[in-house]
Amino acid sequence: MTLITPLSMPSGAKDQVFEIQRVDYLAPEARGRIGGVTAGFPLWKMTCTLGTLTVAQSDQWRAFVSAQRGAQRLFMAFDIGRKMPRNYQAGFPSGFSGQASGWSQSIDGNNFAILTLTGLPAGLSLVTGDYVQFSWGTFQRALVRLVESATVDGTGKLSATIEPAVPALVPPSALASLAQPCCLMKLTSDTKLGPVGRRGAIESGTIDAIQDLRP
Amino acid sequence: MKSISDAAIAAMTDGNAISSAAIVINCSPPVAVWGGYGQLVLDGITFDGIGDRGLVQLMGASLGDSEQNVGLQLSGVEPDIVALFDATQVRGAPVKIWLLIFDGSGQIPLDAQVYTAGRLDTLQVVETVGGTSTICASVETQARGLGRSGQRMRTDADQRLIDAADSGFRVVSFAGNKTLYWGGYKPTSVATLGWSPLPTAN
Repeated sequence: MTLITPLSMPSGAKDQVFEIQRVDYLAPEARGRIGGVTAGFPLWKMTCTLGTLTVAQSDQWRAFVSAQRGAQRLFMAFDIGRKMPRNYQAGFPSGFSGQASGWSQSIDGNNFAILTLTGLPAGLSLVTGDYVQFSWGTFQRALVRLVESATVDGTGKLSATIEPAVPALVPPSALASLAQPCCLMKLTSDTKLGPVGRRGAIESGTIDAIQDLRP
Repeated sequence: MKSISDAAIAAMTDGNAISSAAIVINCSPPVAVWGGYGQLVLDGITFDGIGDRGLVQLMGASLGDSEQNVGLQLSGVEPDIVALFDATQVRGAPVKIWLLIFDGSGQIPLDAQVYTAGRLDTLQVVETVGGTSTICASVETQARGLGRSGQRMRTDADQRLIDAADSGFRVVSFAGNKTLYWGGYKPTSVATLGWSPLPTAN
């Protein structure tokens, strides 16, 4: 059997930070106003802490980190609390794969990005914190998070505010999906695996990764 | 004087602007990159997105002070930039840098201004073992080039290099020297004033 790249993250992490990273240049003023600009565009950043693992999980993580070859390879990173939308952790209504038939994005007057998905089953209810994945090409991925709850209307359409906005490089032909949403990341040099204890499993470790967004 | 669009000013006032930069280095073949993702077309040039946030290190300068170089910090392993290593005539190649301003979502371009234009001076590759690999490109602006003096003086010998029969300077024994400050005030510091305002200790 050969491994298929990009690999997916193993399970068993103790905790995870999966948030949007922005680089801001702030200019606070004495009168209380905070000016500033954001340098560049936002990316997803992930930090997982490894705690007590089973021997099998420990082996999986060690194999995963070594197969990544430092920052050479991409892997599929996801929010371990939201592999599926919150209301559908056990699976979607029968006959729905999680994939929307179309998508579009508009920017409203407050600079919020509004994502519209079509071709979803009527009544499907997504909540704040659910993710939408965009996939195109061989394995390219982009990921956005809903920042408000929304329900699919009778025509199969859903509109919700997302963060970050769908990057401009995502082609209109990309497929939008709600099932197992993930993005491509690379490990950073902050990734460290701890020592293996008497149980035969690593006892600590940090997996640190940043999104690698590429066309 | 740059006239920045009202929308960009409003975004900066609100504090929700996203800034980035686009750079074209007109060597052969030209290298055109910008700090976002995907391709961007500006002034008829297609820029490749390199997603680099620290693209331009803007050097500080003050009115009347000497002209500063602009430092570009580029990734040493980005395929679009590594072409610089192979490009011929990189040294002295014309460089143009745009400052880009986007709205808070990063989707709507609000303004693009030419920040500076100049020529590529030095390309320094900085590699840290276990760390990062960067190319530091120094861009020399036109004003800095103007401030450079030539070697020849107004002497009889130097004049005869131009025209061997010209003896116009043969009785000149001292070459006058006058510093002109183009486009700025004369810099004032203790060193340029030639005296110290503080009494000496002895």
